[in-house]
Amino acid sequence: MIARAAAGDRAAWAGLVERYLVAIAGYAWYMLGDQAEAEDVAQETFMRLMGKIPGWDAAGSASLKTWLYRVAINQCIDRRRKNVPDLMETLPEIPVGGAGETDARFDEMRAVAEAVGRLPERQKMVLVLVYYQGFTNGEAAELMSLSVEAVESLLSRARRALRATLAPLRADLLGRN
Amino acid sequence: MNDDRELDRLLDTLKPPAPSETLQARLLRDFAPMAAAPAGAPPSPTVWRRSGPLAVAAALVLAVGIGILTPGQRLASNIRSDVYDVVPADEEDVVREVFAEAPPDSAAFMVATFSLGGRYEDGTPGESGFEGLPLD
Repeated sequence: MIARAAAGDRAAWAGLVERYLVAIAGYAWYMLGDQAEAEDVAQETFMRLMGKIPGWDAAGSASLKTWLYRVAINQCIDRRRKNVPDLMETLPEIPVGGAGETDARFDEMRAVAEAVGRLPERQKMVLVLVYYQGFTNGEAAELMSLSVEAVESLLSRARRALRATLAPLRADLLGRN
Repeated sequence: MNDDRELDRLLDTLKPPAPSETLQARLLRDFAPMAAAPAGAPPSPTVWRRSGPLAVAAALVLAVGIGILTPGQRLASNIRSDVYDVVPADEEDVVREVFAEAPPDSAAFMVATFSLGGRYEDGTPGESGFEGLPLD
C-alpha cells in the first residue's frame, strides 16, 4: 500500500489514512488533552509521511506503524514542553441517558481525565501506548527506547498512582449505590 | 482502590473524540507524494479560484466591517486579534490559511468572510443577515 501511495495512488493513501489516523490522533489526544492540538499532530505526522513515502525503504525502514508513532510521540513531547493543556477542556460528549447516570459518568470521566493528566510524562506515555493503544510492553519499549523492564515498571507505577488518585471516586460511587 | 478491573473500567470511560471530517478531508485533498519538495525548496503556491465582482464587493464590505480587512493594507497583518475567537477549533487552520494567503477576490476568502460574519456577535456589521457557511 505504501508503494502504491508513493506512486500517487489516492485510494492507497486514503487507505493509510483510514488505517492509522484514528490511532495517531487518539494517542495525541491522550497525551495533550486537546483535540485541536491532537489534530495538528496527526496532520503533521501524515504530512511528513507524505514526504517520506516516495523514498520509503520497506526493507530497511521501521514498520510504518512504528514510524508514525515515533513522529507523533516526538511532536507531543515538543508540544507539551511548550505548554500544559487542560484535558478537561475537551472531554468528549457523553451520550444522554438518565440524569443521574449521566452525572455519575461525567464525574467518572472528569476524575479519570484529571488523574491521567497528572501522571508524569513517561508513565502516561506507557499507559497510553499499552492500555489505550494496545501495544505490547516490548513494542512500547522499542518505541520509547527503553528496556521492557523499564516499561513494566512505568506501567506499574502509573496504575498504582491512578488507583491511589481515584480511590476517593470509587468510595463516592459506592456511597451512591 | 485495589481492584485492577475497577481501574480498567474507569480508564475505559476516557475515549478520544474521532478526528474531524475536516482533518480527514484535508489529508486526502493535500495528497501529493510525488510533489514532495527537497529540503529548502519553497512550497508550491496554492491556486485560488476567483469570485465574481458582486460577491467580491460584498465580501470586502463585510470583511472591513468585522475587522478582517483594513483598506489599503496587507490582509494578514490586519486581522483583529479576537476574530478567531468565533472560529470552531477544527476550522481555525483553514480560516487562518485563507486570510493569510488567499487574495480578497477569491472564492475561499468570500466564503470564509461570510462564515465569520455569520458567527460574529459583538455588534459589528455582519452580526446578522448571514448564516455560517461551510469552508470546504
